[in-house]
Amino acid sequence: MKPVIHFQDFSFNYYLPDQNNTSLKFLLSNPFKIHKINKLNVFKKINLKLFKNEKVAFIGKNGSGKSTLIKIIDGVYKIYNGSLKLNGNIYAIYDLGLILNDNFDAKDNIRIFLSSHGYRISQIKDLEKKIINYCEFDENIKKLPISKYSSGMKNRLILSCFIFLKMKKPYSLLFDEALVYSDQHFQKKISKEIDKKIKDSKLFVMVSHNRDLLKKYCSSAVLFKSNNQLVKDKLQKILKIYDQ
Amino acid sequence: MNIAFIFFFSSRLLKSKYRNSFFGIFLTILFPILASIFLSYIFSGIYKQDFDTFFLKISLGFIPWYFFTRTLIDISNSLNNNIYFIKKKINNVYNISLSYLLSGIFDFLLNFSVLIMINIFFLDNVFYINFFLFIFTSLLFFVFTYSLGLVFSFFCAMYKDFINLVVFFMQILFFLSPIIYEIKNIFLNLQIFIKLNPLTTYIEMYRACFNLSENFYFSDYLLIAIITLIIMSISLSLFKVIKKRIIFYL
Repeated sequence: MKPVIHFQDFSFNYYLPDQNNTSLKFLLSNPFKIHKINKLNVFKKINLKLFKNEKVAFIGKNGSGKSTLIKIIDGVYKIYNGSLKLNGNIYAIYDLGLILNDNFDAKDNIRIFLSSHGYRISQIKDLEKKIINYCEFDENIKKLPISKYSSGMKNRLILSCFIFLKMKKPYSLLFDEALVYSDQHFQKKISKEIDKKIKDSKLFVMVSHNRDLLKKYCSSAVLFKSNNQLVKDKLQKILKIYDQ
Repeated sequence: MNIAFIFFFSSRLLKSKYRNSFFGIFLTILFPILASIFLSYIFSGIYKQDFDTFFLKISLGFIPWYFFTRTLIDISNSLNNNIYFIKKKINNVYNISLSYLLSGIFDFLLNFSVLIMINIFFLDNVFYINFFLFIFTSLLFFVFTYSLGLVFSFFCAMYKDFINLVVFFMQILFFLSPIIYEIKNIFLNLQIFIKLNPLTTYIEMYRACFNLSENFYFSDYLLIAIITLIIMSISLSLFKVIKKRIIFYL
């Protein structure tokens, strides 16, 4: 069977520009010298296959590379060695700071979000009211830049956007700590829609430290070990290894 | 190019400039005109020229310089100020910088409209506008500003204080451009330096649109068109080369 996501001999380095070289002084004193960039190895020759209809949890310590792998799949980082093959569309919820603009209010964020997903101007104007109402924000809150919002409110906004987003099939859905900030009321409200999105997806990947959520949504798991290695197995088995 | 994204992003930029601040409207619409009036009062006396014509000449230098400075600085800052969208999708660089350009063009056209209204209702200038030349000059000028801004935005992402250098040169450019003086009035040796400044040709072209330039030749138009196209090719090629890496600098 052809995997939906396939990493083969995949290596990825995080490039850290030398902070001493990012000033004008460096440019003027070394006009023809190229920046010194430090490499931080995150993955070295990893192999991973994720198949159709799998519900996979990414498990590992903080800094083990779970969120980075989600961003690589979503196309944020494009420089790597080895091969990465993706089948179908990718929809991902992660690092809210990368999806929302803190200086914009809720409406502007919705507009930019939907336009980034290929919606037309007229479609966006129809949808924005529905999304705002779904979020259940007060009139005063709607007009504030979202830098004034709590993490829970930002999460509510982005989840509402995703619920109204018409995902092009076949698609893979990636959640990185996407549900942990929402309150009980909102989680209950969205659970039906989220379940439907997950059911319709070809592949579902979840990153979370919340075991209840992992057990609810996932059946298999990938363990991110500290030596850059990945181990894939059933969820219960991986959780046992992780606890040891 | 994502039209909906550009539409909403540039609307957002205009909204933040106009809706929430009276001072924003004042600065954007009236500042170039008021500055031109102020400069005209001083320098028409010094050069012993008719105020009405001198005001039109200064405005036709000041408005393009003001558009160029503000838009170039905005586009130069666009990568650093919109990390959210660029990290998510690096091709958004085009959409965001185009939005800044469109917002600048809106102000620019508004400034020109106010200038024409003032001339019609308050001044004695008999003038005509060569709309054909105005449109061509403007299109070229917008491409020039955009391309240069795109190159500067990469440098601003790589060198955090590069923007200070841009702002400094924009101030210098005011004196190196024939805004408050005419090229024929300065020393011959200096004229070469002033003519090397691409903004000089654009200002002369705008004055030619109003039949006010004695220094504009078709060869200048051809030369600036070639320079603009070269800068555009360089900025787009540079983008292709470094777009995957730029994310690590943001």
